[in-house]
Amino acid sequence: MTAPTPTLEKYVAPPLSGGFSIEADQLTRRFGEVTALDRVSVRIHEGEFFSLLGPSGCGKTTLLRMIGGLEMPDSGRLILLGRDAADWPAHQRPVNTVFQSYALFPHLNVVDNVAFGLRMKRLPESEIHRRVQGVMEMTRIRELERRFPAELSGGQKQRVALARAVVNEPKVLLLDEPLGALDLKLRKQLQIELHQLQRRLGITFIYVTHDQDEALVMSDRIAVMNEGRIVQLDTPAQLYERPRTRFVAEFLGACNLIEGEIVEAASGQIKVRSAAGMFMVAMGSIAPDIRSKVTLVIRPERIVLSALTQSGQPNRVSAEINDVIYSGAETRYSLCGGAVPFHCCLINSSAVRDGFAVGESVSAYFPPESLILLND
Amino acid sequence: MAVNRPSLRLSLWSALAYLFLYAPIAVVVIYSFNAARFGAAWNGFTTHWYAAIWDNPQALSAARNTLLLAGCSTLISTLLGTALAYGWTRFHFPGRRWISGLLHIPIFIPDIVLAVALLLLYSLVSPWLRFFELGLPTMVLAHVTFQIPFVAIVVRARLAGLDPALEEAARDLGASGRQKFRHVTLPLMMPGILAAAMLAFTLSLDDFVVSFFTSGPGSTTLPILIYSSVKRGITPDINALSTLIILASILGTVSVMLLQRKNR
Amino acid sequence: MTDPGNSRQTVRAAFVCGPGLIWLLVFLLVPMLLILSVSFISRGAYGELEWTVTLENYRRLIGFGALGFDPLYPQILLRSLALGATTAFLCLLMGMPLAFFIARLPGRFRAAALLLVVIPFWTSLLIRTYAWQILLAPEGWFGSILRHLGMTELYPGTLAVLIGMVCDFLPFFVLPLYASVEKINWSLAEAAMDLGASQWNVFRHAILPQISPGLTAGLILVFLPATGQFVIPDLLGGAKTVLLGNAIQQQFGQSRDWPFGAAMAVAALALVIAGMWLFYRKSGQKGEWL
Ligand SMILES: Nc1ncnc2c1ncn2[C@@H]1O[C@H](COP(=O)(O)OP(=O)(O)OP(=O)(O)O)[C@@H](O)[C@H]1O
Ligand SMILES: [Mg+2]
Repeated sequence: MTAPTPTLEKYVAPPLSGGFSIEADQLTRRFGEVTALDRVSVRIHEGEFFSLLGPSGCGKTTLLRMIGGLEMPDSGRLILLGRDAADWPAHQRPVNTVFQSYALFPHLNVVDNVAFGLRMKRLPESEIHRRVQGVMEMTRIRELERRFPAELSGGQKQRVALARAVVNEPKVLLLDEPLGALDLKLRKQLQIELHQLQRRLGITFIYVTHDQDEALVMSDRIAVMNEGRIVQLDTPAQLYERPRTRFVAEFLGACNLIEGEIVEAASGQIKVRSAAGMFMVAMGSIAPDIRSKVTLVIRPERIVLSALTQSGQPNRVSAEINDVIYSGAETRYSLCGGAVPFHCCLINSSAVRDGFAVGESVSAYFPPESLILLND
Repeated sequence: MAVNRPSLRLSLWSALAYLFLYAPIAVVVIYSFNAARFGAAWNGFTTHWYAAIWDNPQALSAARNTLLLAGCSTLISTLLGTALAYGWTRFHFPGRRWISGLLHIPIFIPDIVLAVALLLLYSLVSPWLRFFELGLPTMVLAHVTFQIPFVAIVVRARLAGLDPALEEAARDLGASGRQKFRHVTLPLMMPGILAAAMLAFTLSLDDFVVSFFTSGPGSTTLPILIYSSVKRGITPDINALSTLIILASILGTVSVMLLQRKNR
Repeated sequence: MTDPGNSRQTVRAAFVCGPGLIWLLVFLLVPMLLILSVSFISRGAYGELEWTVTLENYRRLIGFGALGFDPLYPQILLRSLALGATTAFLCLLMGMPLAFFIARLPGRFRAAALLLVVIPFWTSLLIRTYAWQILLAPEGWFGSILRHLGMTELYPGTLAVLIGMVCDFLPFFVLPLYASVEKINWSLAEAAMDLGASQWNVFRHAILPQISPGLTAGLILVFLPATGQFVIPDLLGGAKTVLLGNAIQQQFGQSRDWPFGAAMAVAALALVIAGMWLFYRKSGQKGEWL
């Protein structure tokens, strides 16, 4: 973990008490030629909403299965709730999973599906009944009791799968793209419900998704994965504001990339020359070697457009508008300045369209504090 | 789908094919209600021959043998075949690739080859082991041999179609290996097992060739009885008996089809 | 299930698969090996087995008996092959349209039409065969029609055997073929039609390649058992239509010459193994149509 920069303090999740649910150390798993997990090390706090985010095939499910005990590492160590997980069989771990495909038992109705885990523990029927009813109440599937999985909609299946896992009161709940198969509206609603559920239960949620918005909205921390590795682990705000690689910058939200070269570094500021002009950037985490090639990143909504003024000032680029796309809440512009294409978006804060038109020449201002300097 | 309806010519030809397939079945059923004692002439409707079966001790003992044989062999072959299918799909072990070939031998070889091969085995062993003297037990052994592959293939198809996540979910929810098998795997396999057993039963019921060679005195089954009656000249009560067997086969087939459909 | 071939799995597999595999070993492979070995020995004066190694049985099979050249057994072999091939061809003529017919039916009728093919498949072959005796007998339904047409020498005889064979094995042909026809991508045929191809060319180039696995499977599944059939020629053929199956039965029955019967069984087995090899190589489908 990196210490957050002072300006972002307000976004940081409340400090987490207690120890770690998961301590993974150099976990590696290969399937033939494919390295699904490549020396993954991560610590996940108790009670944290932790997301694994990454493109398809990057090893998210594999890591999750390892925590659940359905997959064993080739090498590396996994400590689960303070205990070495190597000889801890899946069915004894206080961990439950909401599977990517839900995996509801087709031969059991909803109640029996939910009660399955408790029955396996041979709890008294009266207690099973009480707990199952409680959880079904909470997940609002009471009226589906007698139905079979084949008779449920996608959203209902998702709730049953959630209830079936939660009723066991696990210490860690693993969710593998639980909303992946649902439509956007239902997904937004269930995102909120899941988030509230996690706060209420206070248990660790490890949530796999390849939807960046979902991860940003719900998580305390996010691990961005690529090709079997964790490439950055941070709070949502940190990941968005301070990506450390181009991959992370591009994976989370839209961004503009401008390639350049450091020409000067002094008094907390770095000067970068690019095809679009000179940029001043706040001194960040990377070493300001003169002449080194760098990439500047800026989010489209941070660029400030104004009517053309005098050019030649640093961080100010005169550009021509190539395209305008109106999308309700905001208007997106495609621009080109000094042969460098970039995008910019403005919030439509009033009903009066006071934007710019195609072909117009404007001045684009790239605020120094919004520019991110990457050396890859 | 862009498939056009069958043309008239195709339909007529197919109707002819169905007629051809069902003519023998129909004739047996119809003649079982024919009052004439001899010959093919229609002499009025009667259910007399069905009643006559009850007064025919040979037919009754053959029916008893047939059911006993089919029941015992189905039980054994379903157990062995199901276990075989389970291990075949779930475990990796040396020689696993050869199982498929082994199972297809009894499906492909002519009945008569299996029949004489078993006859040879029994006659070589029986001087030492009285158990192998021809009779119902040797027939059960023979029937199980040709039933196992069918059971194993049907059950395996069911197992291979199961979502592996279901069993993982059971583990995840705290089921031990045994509990997982008992509460998830076995119930999910059940439609396949039932279909397989039904198939095995029908196969045994219909088998003539293997039974013919491996039966001994006193272990005559219905197909053998029918064969010897046919050789002597068909009597109407044999038609009645055959009709009952056809009925059993149809019931078996339809229930297998229904179970298979439920499998999907 | 993650680590292939570890020894614990092998032990568990041995417990689970063991009984079934041992059963097949003892009651399938051992008898086959016995047949093979017995085919190389000779028969004693009273039909008992005499364990002296000889090639005599195979010599007799290809026509070089003790009394000089005798074409009886080569004839039986050839007749079996010819009858099997003819049956397969007739099943093709009859079954191909049927498979296309079923595939073109609207969905709800299709299952029923298929069931109507499956039912005879699982109905006693013995019963269906003796029913043809009734039908083809001179006073039977077909028999009398045929007599009016001037065909008297039908039953018993080769033609009767063929009718019985086609009727009994038609489902064996239609079921695997249908499995392929069902999966046909008709848009290919339509595209060919659009390009002006003749009906035959559409079938030849757009349809046939798609159904060839099912077609091969069907033909082999008819040809092999038809060649080794024993009940149908026994009930419908006369003395002149002895086939491989009957010949084997004769040697193990009345003639009590088991070694010679075993040699014929080995010939039948060799045929099957060749057929199975073709089946696996050509069709790639492993009995999923069952
Ligand atoms: N049992 C397996 N056998 C072989 N390869 C596997 C197996 N499981 C996973 N892999 C491979 O490991 C890599 C990581 O797979 P994983 O399922 O963890 O990806 P993922 O991040 O969950 O992807 P998705 O978002 O598509 O679910 C993939 O390349 C996959 O093909
Ligand atoms: Mg996944």
